[in-house]
Amino acid sequence: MNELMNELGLLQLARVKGLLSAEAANTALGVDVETIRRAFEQFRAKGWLDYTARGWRLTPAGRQAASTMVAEERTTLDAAGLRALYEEFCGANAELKATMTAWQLRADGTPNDHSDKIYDQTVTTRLSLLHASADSIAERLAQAAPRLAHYRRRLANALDKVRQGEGAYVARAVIDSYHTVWFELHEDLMAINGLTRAAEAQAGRAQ
Amino acid sequence: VNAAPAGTSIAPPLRWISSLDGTQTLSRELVGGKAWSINWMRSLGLPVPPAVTLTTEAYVRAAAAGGLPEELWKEVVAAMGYLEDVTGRRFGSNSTPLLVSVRSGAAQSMPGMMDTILNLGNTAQTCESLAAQTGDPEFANRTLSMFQEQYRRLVMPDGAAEVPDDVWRQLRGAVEAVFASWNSPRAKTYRQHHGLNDLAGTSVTIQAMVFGNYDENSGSGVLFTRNPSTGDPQPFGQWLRGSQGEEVVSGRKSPSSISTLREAMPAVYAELVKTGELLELHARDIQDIEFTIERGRLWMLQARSAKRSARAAAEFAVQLGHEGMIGIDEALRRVTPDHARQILRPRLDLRALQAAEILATGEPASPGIASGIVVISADDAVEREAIGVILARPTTSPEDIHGMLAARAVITEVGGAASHAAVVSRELGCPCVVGCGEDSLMRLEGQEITVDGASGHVYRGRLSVACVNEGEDPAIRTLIQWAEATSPLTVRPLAAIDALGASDVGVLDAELDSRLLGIRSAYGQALESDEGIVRAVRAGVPVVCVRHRLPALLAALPSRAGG
Repeated sequence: MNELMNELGLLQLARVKGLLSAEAANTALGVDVETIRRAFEQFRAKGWLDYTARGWRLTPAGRQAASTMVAEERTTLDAAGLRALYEEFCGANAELKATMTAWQLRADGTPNDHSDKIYDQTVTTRLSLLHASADSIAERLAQAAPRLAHYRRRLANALDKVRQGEGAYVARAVIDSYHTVWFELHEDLMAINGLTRAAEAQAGRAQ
Repeated sequence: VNAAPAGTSIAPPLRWISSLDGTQTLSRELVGGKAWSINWMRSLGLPVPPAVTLTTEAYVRAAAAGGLPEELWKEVVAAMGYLEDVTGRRFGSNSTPLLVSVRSGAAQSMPGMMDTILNLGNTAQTCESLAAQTGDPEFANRTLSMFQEQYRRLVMPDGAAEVPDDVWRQLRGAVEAVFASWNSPRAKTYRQHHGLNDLAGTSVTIQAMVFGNYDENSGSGVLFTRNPSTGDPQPFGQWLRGSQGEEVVSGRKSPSSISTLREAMPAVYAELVKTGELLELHARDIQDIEFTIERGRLWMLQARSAKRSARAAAEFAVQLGHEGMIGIDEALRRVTPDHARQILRPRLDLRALQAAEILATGEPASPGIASGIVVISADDAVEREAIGVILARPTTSPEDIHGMLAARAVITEVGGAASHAAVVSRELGCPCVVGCGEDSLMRLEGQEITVDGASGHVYRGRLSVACVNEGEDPAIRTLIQWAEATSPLTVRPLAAIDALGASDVGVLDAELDSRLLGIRSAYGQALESDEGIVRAVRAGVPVVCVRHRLPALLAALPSRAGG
């Protein structure tokens, strides 16, 4: 991987995550924590990153830099192939959202208190079924855009944790839950296709 | 039905059929929930119409044979003989006909499964004799037509054939229909979907009919031994004079409050309430009872533990604990941390609500009330967090997470209850309303508003909120005292932070465990969830400070947090 890819990988991760810690970046990218900390300091010096009470954040300049680099990257990739992958992803998105909602709420709208193991098992089975398509999309994405290869491993990792009984890895915010990873993937797919969330939301594909 | 008292006539020993006379203990797996409940009530000496059940083993046998084998049918005939003996009636007789109900025994009602056929054993001739005996041809005709209609719909879906006039053919058809419905595509899909593939099959219960529609001194209804919505210790329920239970369920007629039964038939009411108390005592839980009154005589049809609201769960646990019906540990097990959170959730003050102006309405996505100043970007939310902000966005994306963490509530213009904003808000326990409509929210920037995540309304201004005070609510206070006695964790209100010098453990769950080690007292968003409390217990933190004490205490109990 060249230097631009590394830089963009970390920058774009900060962008889709909103908040980033060295540990979270390590989990996502598999790059060691010390290297990431050094990169954070370099980015801060360039005016791209800021440290807030909750973690590292992109500055407006950092966001602009990431956008420019993604646009540049796009000219080197198979646009039609990426667009098709995005469409396929959108097809699976409704089932993902329905599964997440079923995890949080019972059919009558009351919160799922997770006392009914059979019910929870039904939802996680649903997630496993969905994962078959997600894994296939992520695998082809890794070939089309190597910078985004980490999503395949992260989705599988979240599902493994769920299967081992760690329910938090279905939908919990901030940690690398299936929902967190899925929506970061959604962001990256839109970005790499040159699409904006606002326009996609109006088209009913990104809410 | 003129049944002999329970247990005086012993059924013949049969291989595939259990008599539900209360003389033996039966397993739920073998006979199904309804039959189990009948047998249990009979064992307590309660008036239950006599019944027998073809077990789930009988189902397996029939399924293997591809129909109802002769050895099984012989037992059905023998079991009907037992029902005839105890009721003093004859199946298919013109002078004293025995009518029965046939029910499936699936543990829960399942789409695609045949559920109930009433009044089986009815023919043109028995109808005549029923009319003569009761002097009420209308009652007899209604009973026959209700049976024929049900039988045609449930047993003969092609609708071509006539309902058989031979009662034994009626019975055989109904039993076979129940067995066959177990393998209907809808029932199979349902079981697959709900992970119920281990169930062996269904039982079939045949029970002597009682007639709630017999006359004006008859009726049927439902009694909860205590109020399942408010938790009041008073009996609660509904009944319908002159009707069979089906009519109450179907909603064709509107039932009356159970208190009117007290006026109409005081002795029956008293017996019903006393029976409820007995069942409660034996089950050690609040009961939901189906009953029928036939000519002034009370019959119990079914009893089971009542479903209940969060408030009722807390009230019942305290009541049963005080009454000594259950121990303190069991009482605490029956109230979940989520029940406690639901009770303690703030509600908008009713008077304030009447005068309030609604600025926008969307889909309720995560319950809770919050007031604050509207900001329209995640960065603004972080910057102005200290003044209390509501984050309004056209739609949210993962990069808005820092704004969602800083905001007191999240509202969006586009998106449904499964949108990103909704899923994340529910995980964070942050009130959220989604899909308020395009261009409905951005114009509110800088205004003070109140968001009700349960109703989906956004109001102008800061509305006053009614809260349950943990220290003043009697049930909550008692549960806190009980839980404190066994909790490994000392749980203090947030106000104790300064005095304790508690340290903030933040929201980053991934790092939570390492941050908890060696801490003497802690507070923070991560400790407002069951999981955070469990991790604090396991890390050996002695004291936590939280918004509400009861949910944390309940989550910390050894039965939930382990060790």
